[in-house]
Amino acid sequence: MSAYGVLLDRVNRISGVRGSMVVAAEDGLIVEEDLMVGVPGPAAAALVASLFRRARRSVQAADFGSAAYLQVEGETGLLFAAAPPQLGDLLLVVIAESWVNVGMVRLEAARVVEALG
Amino acid sequence: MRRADLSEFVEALAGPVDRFAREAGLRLVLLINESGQVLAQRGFARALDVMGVAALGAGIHASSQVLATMLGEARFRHLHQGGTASQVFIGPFATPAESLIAIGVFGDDSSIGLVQVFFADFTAQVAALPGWSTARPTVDAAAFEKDLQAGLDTLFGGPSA
Repeated sequence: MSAYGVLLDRVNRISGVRGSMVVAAEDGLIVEEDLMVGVPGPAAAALVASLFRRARRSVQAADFGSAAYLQVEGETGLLFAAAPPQLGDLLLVVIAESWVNVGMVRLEAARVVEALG
Repeated sequence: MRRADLSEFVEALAGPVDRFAREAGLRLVLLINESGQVLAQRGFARALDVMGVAALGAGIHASSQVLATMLGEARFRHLHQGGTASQVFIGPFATPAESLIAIGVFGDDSSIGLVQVFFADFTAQVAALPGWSTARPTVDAAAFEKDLQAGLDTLFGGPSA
């Protein structure tokens, strides 16, 4: 299993997570994925990366530095993207149920990314 | 495609092409068949530019098709060229009527991932359109030049530049 695979495996163990991906922020393409059957990975990756690029521009335009997290909540699910500096231009994208413990997702992601770095 | 029925089928392509351009964030879109005949466009101002891009796109597609065959692939799914300010996407796809090639140009407000996602939707929409969902007879050699001109005339409302 690759280093990114280990990262995704640990994030996916959190209750409520339906899958996670490492996505190239500029291209919106999946680098590594571990998703439940039926989760539309390529579409989610491309759209979340697009959202994140726009969010990053907005944060930079407001002179707030670089964007670190993006979270979009739907009625029945949640999309989460993180851009830790250790991943360079890559995003960690998590697709989860709406009731997931987001704090746990962020904490686990931060732990594993730190270990990767 | 016969000149007499060209406008009928080309008009039906405008909606899906516009939607593809809008959703995928494409600056330019050109839809041609494998002969280089122009069927739809969005973003081009001059027929001359369309003719050039159509001819080059058809040529690139033909070359990559040969390369795919050499490598044991039936065909490549798409071709992507990334630049500093603009990127080009060339996506061939089959409809029951004939094989088509979509050429899209986009900048840093879109991405190849987005274009791929909406290209899949676009091909399904085109393949389901009346006129594109059933097989049609192919043109003979004598009608080829006339058909190329007819495509441009249809899109730009008269004889092309």
